[in-house]
This record gives sequence, structure tokens and C-alpha cells, in this order.
Amino acid sequence: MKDQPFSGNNEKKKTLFSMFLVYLIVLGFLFITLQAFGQDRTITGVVTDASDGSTLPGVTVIVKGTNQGTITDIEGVYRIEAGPDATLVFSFIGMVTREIPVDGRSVINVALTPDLVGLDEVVVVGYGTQRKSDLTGAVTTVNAEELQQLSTINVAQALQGRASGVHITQNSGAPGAGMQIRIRGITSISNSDPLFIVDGFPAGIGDIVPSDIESIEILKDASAQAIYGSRAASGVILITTKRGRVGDTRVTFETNVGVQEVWRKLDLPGASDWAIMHMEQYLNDGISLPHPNYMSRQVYEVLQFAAAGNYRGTNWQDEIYRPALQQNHTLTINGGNEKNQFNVAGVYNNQQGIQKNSSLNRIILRTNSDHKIKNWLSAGTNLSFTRNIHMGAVDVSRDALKRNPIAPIYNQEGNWNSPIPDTGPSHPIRRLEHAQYRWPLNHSFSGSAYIDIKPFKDLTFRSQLRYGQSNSEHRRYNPVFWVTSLESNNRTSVTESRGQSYGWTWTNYMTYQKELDQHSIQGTAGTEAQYSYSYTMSSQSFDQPDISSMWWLNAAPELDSAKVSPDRGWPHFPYEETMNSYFLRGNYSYMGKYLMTATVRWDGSSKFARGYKWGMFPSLSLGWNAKREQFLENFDLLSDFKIRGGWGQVGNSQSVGSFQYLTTIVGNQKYVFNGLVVEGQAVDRLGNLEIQWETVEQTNIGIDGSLFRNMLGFTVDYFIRTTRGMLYEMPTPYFAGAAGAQANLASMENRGWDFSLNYRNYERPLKYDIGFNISTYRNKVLKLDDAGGSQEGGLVWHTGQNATFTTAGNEMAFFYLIPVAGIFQNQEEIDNYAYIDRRGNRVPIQPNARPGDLKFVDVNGDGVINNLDRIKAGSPHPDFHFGFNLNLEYRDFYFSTFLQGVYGNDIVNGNPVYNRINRWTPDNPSQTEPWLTQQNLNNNFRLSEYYLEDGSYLRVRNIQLGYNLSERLLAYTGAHRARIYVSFDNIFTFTRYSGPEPEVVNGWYGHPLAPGIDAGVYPQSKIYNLGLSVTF
Amino acid sequence: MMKKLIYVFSVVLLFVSCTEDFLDLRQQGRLTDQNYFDNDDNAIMFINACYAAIGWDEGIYLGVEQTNHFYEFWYGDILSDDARIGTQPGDRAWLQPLEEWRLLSSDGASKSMWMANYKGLFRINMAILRLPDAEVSSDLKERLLGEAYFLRGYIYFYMVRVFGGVPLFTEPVKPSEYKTTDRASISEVYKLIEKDFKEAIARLPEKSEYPPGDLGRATKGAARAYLARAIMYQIGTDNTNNHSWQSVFDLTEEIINSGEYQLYPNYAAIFEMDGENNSESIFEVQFADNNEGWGVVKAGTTASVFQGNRTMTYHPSYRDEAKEKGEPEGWGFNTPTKEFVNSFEPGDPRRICTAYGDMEVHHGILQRVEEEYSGGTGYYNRKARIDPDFVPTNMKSSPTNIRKFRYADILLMQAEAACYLGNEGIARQRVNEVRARARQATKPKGSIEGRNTYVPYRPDELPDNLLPDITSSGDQLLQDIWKERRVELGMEALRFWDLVRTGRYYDALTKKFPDDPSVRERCIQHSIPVGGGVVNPIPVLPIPISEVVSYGLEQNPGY
Repeated sequence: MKDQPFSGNNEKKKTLFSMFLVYLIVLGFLFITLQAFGQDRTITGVVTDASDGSTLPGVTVIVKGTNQGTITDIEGVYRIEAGPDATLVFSFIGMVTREIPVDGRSVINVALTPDLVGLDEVVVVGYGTQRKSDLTGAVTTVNAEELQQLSTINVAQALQGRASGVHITQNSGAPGAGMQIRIRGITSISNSDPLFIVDGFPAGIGDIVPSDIESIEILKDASAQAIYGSRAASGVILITTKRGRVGDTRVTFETNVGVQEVWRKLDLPGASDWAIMHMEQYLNDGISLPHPNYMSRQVYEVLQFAAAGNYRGTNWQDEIYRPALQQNHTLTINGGNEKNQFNVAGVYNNQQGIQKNSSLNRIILRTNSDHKIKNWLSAGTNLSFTRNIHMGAVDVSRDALKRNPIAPIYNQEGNWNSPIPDTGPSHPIRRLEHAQYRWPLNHSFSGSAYIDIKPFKDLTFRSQLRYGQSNSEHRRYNPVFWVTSLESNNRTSVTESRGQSYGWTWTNYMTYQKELDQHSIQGTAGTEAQYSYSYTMSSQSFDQPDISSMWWLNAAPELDSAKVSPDRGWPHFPYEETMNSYFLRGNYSYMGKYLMTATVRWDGSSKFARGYKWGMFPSLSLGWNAKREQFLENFDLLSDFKIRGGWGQVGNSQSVGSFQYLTTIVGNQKYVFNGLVVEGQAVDRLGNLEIQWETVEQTNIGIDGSLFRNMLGFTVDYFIRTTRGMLYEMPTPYFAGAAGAQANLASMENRGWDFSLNYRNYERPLKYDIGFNISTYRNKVLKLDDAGGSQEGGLVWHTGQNATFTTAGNEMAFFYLIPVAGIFQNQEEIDNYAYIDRRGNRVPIQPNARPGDLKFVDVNGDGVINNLDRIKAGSPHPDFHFGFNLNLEYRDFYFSTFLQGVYGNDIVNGNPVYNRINRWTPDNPSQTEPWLTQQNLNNNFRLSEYYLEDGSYLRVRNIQLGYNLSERLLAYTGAHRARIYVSFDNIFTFTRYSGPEPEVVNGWYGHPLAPGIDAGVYPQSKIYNLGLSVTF
Repeated sequence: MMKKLIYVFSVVLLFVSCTEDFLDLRQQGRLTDQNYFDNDDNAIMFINACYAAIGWDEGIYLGVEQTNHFYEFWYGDILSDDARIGTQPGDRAWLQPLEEWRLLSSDGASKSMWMANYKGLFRINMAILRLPDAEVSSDLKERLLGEAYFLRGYIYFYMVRVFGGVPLFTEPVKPSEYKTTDRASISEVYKLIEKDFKEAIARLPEKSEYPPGDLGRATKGAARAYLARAIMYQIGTDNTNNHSWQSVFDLTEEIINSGEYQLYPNYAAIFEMDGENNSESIFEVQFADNNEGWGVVKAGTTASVFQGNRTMTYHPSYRDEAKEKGEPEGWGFNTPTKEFVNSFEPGDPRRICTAYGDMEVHHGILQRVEEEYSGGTGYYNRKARIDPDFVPTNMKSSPTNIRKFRYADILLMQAEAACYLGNEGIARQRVNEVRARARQATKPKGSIEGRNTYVPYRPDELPDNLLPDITSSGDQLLQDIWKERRVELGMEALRFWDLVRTGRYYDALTKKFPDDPSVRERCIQHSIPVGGGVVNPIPVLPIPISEVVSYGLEQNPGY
């Protein structure tokens, strides 16, 4: 075909750019870090675990007040230079940090005592941090190690299965595809996406890779969420990125290279079977072949030839999938002293898709710094820049399933072949090839800064500001081609679109903290203002020649053929939004036993009309650290036990668009005067000035506990979450004459459980930890509107019918299908399947059926099979979803695996029916697969239970085997730490689902009323990955 | 320390104090009802969109729901004795209940008409509400208001004929009215219709007073004509408002005296492209070829392809040759009955301009018509035929205007009025004007194969005493006038209501369905019976079921 259009040249540019980037980083590193070591004495010693006397490797040892530090080797031995008056600081995760003055000694052995789990672990909550032991809300923490286990560069994918109550599904297996994240199920009939807060600011996660992240906190209940007010209803995910540390400057280089392939190909009929079946459908109908009306002699001969097994044909799955490379490289430089710390990271991702012309190419530069300027003043910055070229999927998976396998890709002239016989779907390879004519370039930049002022002890004031901007430049060329008259284009065109968005957030808050004997008080008060803007425009021009340098809008031969495209997919109007907020939080703890947290936030939003802009979101939660009561103090089996409960209200303003309250005028209402078309404009959508956010009220009760000296930890939560005032189109009589306005009418409820269990053993030689989490919820729509309305959704395209139904008293969008009672095996069964009409006559219910046809159930007993016979046939909501991980460490080797799955959900396989190999024949009395018939008088493929399948799956997300270089080898290489590993993603998947991919997000562009409908999914890949991580 | 604290708090205060303006954004780059109606151009466009509503017979989208097609000929012709559904059995399943008065209240055939017209009314009411205060130059404002009143009258008049009394709104409907609204009575609907047409008469210019670019807009003459028609229908159906034929006579007299309209000399050309907006045109729904496919918001109409020659399009023996000759695609709906075709006087040139059958030549192409492809009648509607020279880029977007009101109708209306008023001289004069014009007609366009031109009749092709002047009187004169209406205005979606208002509909059904008396029986069940102000039974179609079940509207009889 044609030469590679955009990519060739840019590949070179990209390489140059990334080299330049690495150069800059290295240069920066040289400037920043070369520092001399003092002329001190060498101090050495062994660090042990006080509980069992075993040595502890990996303990950080720092000379207090300097950036000098080291870690203990595998024998727990350390060696450090320090002056006789210095103080050494020993710290290790899970152990209490100790400070020991040198006092002129040269050997200092230290025993560290285990920390009670999480007792002093600090958890990020909104606008501040809290000791984990003081926490009263449902918050789950996912740490950096877990996030980095998979080879993915997608943060959401790294989170999948890691936290109970957080259900993540990948929209598609294409590089850079989005994820659907549901915290404790769906919140609303319109929008259930959580709010992401990155380093204190609402932001997207497209510019962050898992290796940038220090920790993720997921706020699951309203008492934790309420501090984020009107946007928190679907949960809040707080991401904290890595920052500089005190100590030697470290350079870490992480790299992995992998090969991906489609996780499975379906077993589809080959050319011979296909030809046999194609002819069989006519023969079954009593049509002898060839036939002037149905099949020409030429086609018949082709089929005969193929049916005889003379021809292998085209395996379309083999054609559309390819093994694809991915490579990810990250360079991080990290260090600092007591006064200044910094972190610089450069990331390069290059991920090719398993379908041609889908890829993600990305460069990220991040840097942050923290500065202690005075003892009452500190400040810091974050800067990040991202450039990506994201070729999204042109998904042909579904077309490849149905494509005639006899047809070759190209005809004898080398052009696109139009298949004989033509069976419909467009040419998959043509579409993949043409997907190359795209140039989707995106840049984004964000910068933030904070300043902390401590006017006096106990009080801190913080002011922080973030500005973010992103630009997109997308270009697309549409070449001339011809496959069939329906799949052709006779005029070239170029479409260009430019998008720009920017916004800022400014937050000011104060924190007061006071410890008085047994009372501990913390108070936070603050304000926040936000502005955001976005605008996209798109233009099209025609007749550019097929030369890659001419694929520009302005290269059209006649400029007046350029026009602003009336592409309805874009919002033609700028989007603007402002928000202003006030918030308060108070924490009180008595003896660390009795805990209380109260928050309230007021949000004002430009999305709503005057008088409806403001809302208040309160919460209250209580906790009881039972283990600290005297009567449990000596109960050693139990290491920790806390009961907590909370209540709160939060808002779901994400389901409301800006200016949705306005009544809008639309154009293109054409009429004709004097023979010429004139423009007309009319009111189309009615606004509703009273629109407000949806309100979500949640009650949560939870227990955190641990047993056996903290080896076994568990968390259980039960919640009831009610969404009120969900936006729903007001039911409107036809005589109103305009589509109904949206109003806060509907409500729904989720009740559910989240469990997580963790067992860890840090004792050598075999260290291990096992984690398991499982969650379940029940969704119920309480009300749609006052009129008892209902709504269908989830169109299954090739049947023209909707698969889901939503009405009060049921879960949202359950599958509503005609039941199937097997297959008619003989004429007698058809005759016996009758209905007695009013006159007492026996009337066959499926008079047109023949043996081999599906038998549908006449649910309402009216003697005909139609849409009135639908029943609740299945559920897109899983009974539960779960994750399991296991980490083993033996000497220098480690092994880890991670499993994730869902159970009990159904999928409507909305792909066109593609595999009929197990069809009913007199010799194969199938009860599930109907016979072949061209006339299809029984309408076997109407939407029914036939399409419904079990959607449960269990996926081995990752298996990883690694080796940490031993001290000796490290010394030899000069590295500080190094590991090398092989890793396999999605290596096994267990599912009964027959479609290409059981991980199905809402069909039809994520429409909330189309969950679990497989409308053709780009499947996931298996990834074989080799990785290296070195720290100098 | 104090200084630091003051600094901190002053920053906070500064920030707190500027909030309300900060939250008050205005929508940018998009028209809303808050920034509309601020100049002449967009006021005109708003009225244009009201006109668009009367061309929506392909069905509309309302919210997510797409409705069925509904063409006025379904009611005006197919319900009458002039026409059958036509086409082949498989392609008419959902229309059959309409013709046989078996419609269910959930069927689309009346529902989509209800939905589309109310959507149009919403637009019109919005315009009438907002225009008086709009920043629009005053002459234009008056005219636009006149057009809006005309269109509101036009739509309510259509609805009252199909449904009887309907919910009546003179302002955009408010949510609080959804559940409190009842159907108005037929006479109340007519009162508003009359008021609207009078408001329109007071504001609209005559046809000749418009600039040429506005050809097709509602005129003073059109408003008078529709007012006259609305009164005439009331006299024969529900005359609670006590109208007399004198008003019909006076209104038609005003139109005749205005000098704006003359009968177009050649009857054969009225329905051709060159006859669009001709001298006798009072109102037409305007269309143009705009290369559009299916879709309701467009400038062309699907009405033409619906009524085209199906035999030539689908019959295996003819289709290939027909395509070669350029015969336009057609689906064969709305086919003239044999009984109607035979009702023309011998040699009446209007017959072949109204219905065409097998082996006739039209637009230069020999026509083949099979009964099997024309609902059993053997004829297609000549008045809806697309000229192959004007075949649209996309067959679903025909440029053919739909003629809604012709001057010939005015003359026949006055004849009828004069007859009732005892002024038989005028009555005969008006009918004979119409007959005289018919005598001068040429053959239909393209009557010779291969030539798409008008060819006059040779004297020997016509009977000696072609269409003689009417000389009758008394009841015979009335019968003659009615008969003249049938042949002059045939296949123009007027017949059904003519039958209803003259009390002849049930008998016509008996004749149309001689083997199935149940059709007449069902129609009687679905009629508003005589009594009160109702002078002839008024058959009506069902109100959409959701309006009855969810919003408490009263259903029509028998549904």
C-alpha cells in the first residue's frame, strides 16, 4: 500500500526528542548533586528485629541533619561515615524509627521494634493527613509497590482489583484506552465517575504513570468524601506522587520491554465450513442452488470449490491481530537535604496495539521540589509536561468475526476485495490500513506551587495554586477507495480539529493541631476557587492529493472548498465552569480511643441558575479503638481492633453539564421559499432553572482489625448509599411539543459489603504476604419519575432492539429479553406449542417455525411472540468482584502473582452472530444453536435470551519472577540496588463467555443504560515482559 | 507573628469577597432563549422553523422517539373512496388498520401526526409569546406574527379534522399544565382557528406584496381561504359556532375580488414543476432538492417517492428497462380507485392528469401498472408523479411542493355557498369557470414516448360535447358541484373531509368495501354522533394512548 504517512518522519523526531530529554535530565543531575562527603569515621553495626532477633536488610540509616545515608545489606549490616557527635536515624517500614547518638562509638547495633500496623502510618485525606489509627472513614490505601507490579502504564489499570469496593473495567484493550471506575457500584443513572485529586488538586490521570506514584488513597464513604462536597458522590481517589527525600541523590532507571498478543482468538469456521453453511441455509429453505434470485452460478461455483476444502481462505483474526511491542522507560533522580528536596522524572512510553495503527507514544517530564525556607515558612512546586500521540482503536474485532473467510483481502488487481458472497461488515483490513491517516497530537502542561506558613506553633496556613493547560491537534485524511458501493469514498478530504483547555485551582486552608494530655484536636478551615475552560473546533476541506505532505487543511486545491464542519460530535460552544467552596473539618480524639470527625463543605457552582448555585455537604463519623481499652490490652491474639461508623451527604455535580438549565435554540430547521432552502432555528430542548446536583447520602459501618502480632489484618465495611434527585428527563406529554427538561426526579440505592484480608510474614528466609479483597453490592432504582416511568436502553444494533430496562424497584438496566425454551426438534413440538384463542381454536404460537428453530416463551400468553414477552433475564451487575495477590521472597528472588475477577454478571453478546458451527441439524439435536435458514421466518435472531451469556471471569493479571542483585554483584556494578524480572500479564483468563473479551464496559460509548452489552470490544492482550530497575 | 497572621487572613478575606460575580457565567457561542429574538434575522429564522414543522410528514424525532410517517393523503385520500393504500401487501401492514378503521390507540398512524403538530405548535407559541417584545423592526414583526398566527390556525385545523377537540394552547405548555389539561371541544378549537386566521388576515400582506424571495410564505389570501374552509367544514360537521354559508360566500368573494389569483390556463401543468406557486396557488408546502436521505429535518419530501410507480420500480419484467429510461423510483402508495377513475365524465382531460394506469405514456415513458403492485386498483396518483427531468439527487428528498389550496377550490366553495344561499346563477357561473378551464387542458406532460413536453389534444381525440356547462338547479346543482369538487380536486387529500361534512361518508365506505360491512360499522363506532351542534357524524382517529393513560385526556369513541 502507500508509504507510512505521518509516522516515519515523526519516529525520528521522537527519538531525537527523547534523547535530548535524557541528556537534560543527566545534566540537571550533575549540577544538582555533586557534593562532597565529610572526613568522618566509619561506623558499622547490625540491625535486628527486636521481636525475634532476626537481622533486617534494607533498613535506612541516615546521619541526622545531613543528606548522608545508606541501607543495611541482606545480613542487616550497615556501614556509614559519621562524626563522633552525630546522631544516626534508623527507619524501616513496619518498624518504629529510632534515633541513636554516636557518642564516639564505632560499632552500633540496633534492634528495631515492630510498629503496630498502621498505628503511626499517615494517610492522606482531603486537605491534609491523618494518622491511620485516628481514621473514622472508609479509606483504602494502595501503595507504590502494588501499583508497579503490572507492566501497564495506566494508573487505573494498575488499581484494578487492588482495593475492595473499587470496580475497574477496561473499556478496550487498545493502547491508551480509558477505564471505567466504579466505587461501590453506580452512583447515578447519568454519571458515576469518581473524582481524582492529584497532589491536592482535581486533575486527570492521563499524565501520570504508576511509577510516579507514592500512594493512592480511595475515599469510599461519605464521611471521608464530604470534604470534596459536590463532586465526591462517586468516590474520591487521592493520588500522591513521589517527592524528594533526604539522603544521597539517587538515580533510578527503570525499563521494561514486552511483547503483546491477543489473549485468545475465537474458533471460527474456516473457508470450507463457512461455504458449506452458507449453502446449507438456502438448501434448508428448499432453494436449489444456483438460483437466479438468490445465488448466481459464479458464486455457487466459488462456494463449491471452497466447500470441497480446496481453499484455505482468509483467517480474519490472524489478519487483524499482530504481536505488538511495548516499551516503557523511566529515569528518576531523587534526593535532597533537610532544607531542599527534589524529584525529577522522565518517562517514555511506546505501546503498539495488537491491531495495526493503534498505539500510544508518550513522553512525560515531571519535577517537584520542597524547600524549607525559614522555620515558619516552607514552599514547593510541581511541574509536569506531557506530549502524546495517541492512535486510538479503530475497532474491527467485531467485523472480523463476521467477515466471509472465503474472501481474500485483495483482489487480483491488488485492490480491496469485495467479498463474494457479500456478507455485510466492512473490510477490516481496509479500515485498519486507513487508520494510519491520523495525526492525533496532544500536549499538556501543569504547574503548581504551595506555600506553608506556620505563624505560631500548632497552626499552619497553606496556600496552593495550580494551573493546567492542554492542547490537542488532530488531523485526519480520508483517502479515495472502493470496496463495494456501500463502502467507498470518491473524494479525499482532510479534517483538522484543535482543542484547548485550561483551568486553575486556588486553595487556601489552615490547620490547627493541638495535643492536650489525653485530648487531641485538629481543625481545618479553607476556601477553594476553580475555573476551567475548554473549546474545540473542527474544519474539513476536500480534494487534497494522496501525498502525505499535502494532508493539510490549507492544501485543498480550492480554498473555498474548506468549510467549518458541522460535525455534531463536537460541542461547538466553549465550555466554562467556575466553582467556589468553603470547608471545615474537626477531628477530636480522646486517649486515642474515642474518635470523632466532622466536616462540612459549601460549594457554589456556575453550572446552576441563580438561586440554585450553592449546596452544603455535611458529614459526621465516630470511631472506637477498642484494643486500647484496658479489658483488651492483655488480649494478645488481637493486635488492633477499631470500629467506626459514619454518615454524610455529598453531591454529584458531574452529572450536570454547564448551562444545562438553559433553554437552547438549534439551527438546521430547513424550509424553502422561492425554491431556495432557508435556515430555520427553533427551541429544541427545554431548560429547567431549578436543576441542582444529585445528592448522595451514605452511611457506613466498618471494622479494622489485626491478629497475631499484626500478621493478619482485615477490614470489613457495610454501606448504604442513596442517591436522591438524580437527573432524569421529566416525562412529558406529546402535546407539550418539546422534549422534556431534565429535573432532579429519580433516586436509587446501593447496599453492599467490602472485605479485605491480608496476611504477611516478614520472617526469613521465606517472606510472604497474601492479600484478598472481595466486594458486593445490590443496586436498586427507587424512583425514576412521579409517573412511574421506565426506560429502555442498550441497543443491540443488528437486532434494532434494546436489551436493558430500568424501572423503579429493580436494579438499573437489567437485561430484559424474550426467554428461549430450547429448539423445536420436530414438527410435532411446533404444532403442540399452541395457544387457545377466544373462540376455542388451537393456534400455533410460532406458526412459521420449522424444526431447528428457536422456541420462544409466550410470557404474556397472548399467542404471539413479541416485545411484550420480555422478562428480567439477567443482570449486568456482578454478584461480587475480587482481587487476590501473593508475594513471595526467598533470599534474592521474589515471585508475585495477582488475580482479579468478577462473578455472577451476564453479558449480552451484541456482536452479530458469527459462529454457527454447532447449529441444529437432524443429526445434531442442539437445544441452543438454531438451524441455518436464509429466510429465517421464525426470526431466530431477534433479541432474546439467545444472546445472554455468563460474564464471570477470573484473570491472572500478573505473574512476576524477579531477582534482586546481591550485595556482591551490586558492589561489582557500582549500583546501589538493582533488580531484574520477567513478568506476564493476563496470562490466563478463565471465562465461559464466548465473545472476544469478557471485560465489557457499557456498550455504545459507555452509555449508563447499556452496561454489559458487548458491542464489539478490542480485546485485551497477553504481555510477556522483561524488566530492569537499577538505582545508583 | 501578628503581622503574619494578618497577612494570612487578609488573603483569605480578599478571596472570599469576590464570589458571586465569579459564579455568574454566561453561555458562550450558543443560542439560548436568553440571547435570542434580538434582531430581524433570527426572528425570521425562528418563523422559518415553524414552517418547517408543517413539512414534517416523514415523521419527527421527539426526544429519542422517532415516529412513523404521516402524509395528509393518508387521511384525506386513503380514508376516502377515491384511493386505496396501494403498493404490495407486505409494504402496507401498518397502514391497513387505518383504512379499515381498525387503528389502535398505540399505532403510529395518528400518533406521529399528533406529536409532530404539537411540536410545531410549541415553536409557534414560543414565537407568538416572544415576538411582541423582541427587538425586531415593527413592520416585520407584524408580518412574522401574522405568519405565526396563520400556521397555528393551519395546524389546529388539521388536528381538529383528524381528532376532533384537542388540548388547546396559546402559549408554550408549562410543566404544571401537563396533568391539568383537558381536550377542548371541537367548537372551541374552531373558535381559536378562526381567531388566528383573522389575526393573520389583519397582519399578512397579499401574495403580490411580498418580495419575490419570500414566495411561499403565508398570505392574506391564504388566511382568508383557510378561514373560509374552516367555516365551511364547521357548517357540515360541528356547527356549535352557528356559521352560515354567507360567511363562506363573503370570504371567497373577497379573495376573488382581490385580483390576486387566476385559474392557471393549463390544468395539466398545475402539478408539474413548472406549475409550482402558479397564479391559482393559494398555499403550498414548499420543498426543494437538497440531497438528503432519510431524516426528518430536511428541505425535500418523501411524499413523491411514496406515491411513485411501484410496478416500474419492482416488477422483474419492467424494472430494468424502466431504470434505463429514467423512470423515477416509486413505492406505489395512495392509488386511485377504479370507481373514482370511472367517475370522470367521458374525455375529461383531468382524469389522466389525476390517475394513470397501464400502457399510458407519462413524462415520455410508457407506464406499466400491475394491480398487484398498486393495491389492486391498477392506477397511480398522477398529481404526485415526479418528472424524471427533476428527479432529486436523493429520491427521499423530492423538490415537489405539496399543493394545499388552489383558487379552483375557492370558486367551487363559492359555488356551493351560493347554491345554499339560493343564488344559483353565481353558483353555476363559478362551476362553469372551473369546467371551462378543464376543457382547455393539454395532454399530461410527456404523453409521447421519448418527449417530455405538453401536447395539445387533437379535436378528434376529444368528445364533441366535452364537459358541457352545468345548467342544473336545486339539489341537482348541489350534487353537480360536489361531483365537480371530486374530479377537479381529486387526489389532493380533500375528499375524505368533503364526504364527512356533506354526510356521505358512511355510504362511501359501503361502496368502497362492498364485501366487508364491518368497516362501516367500526367507523360508526369511532364517530362523534349527531346531536348538540353536530350536524353530521364525525369519524375521528385515536388519541395516542400515553396521553390518555398518563395525562388523563379523554379518548375518542370506541378506542
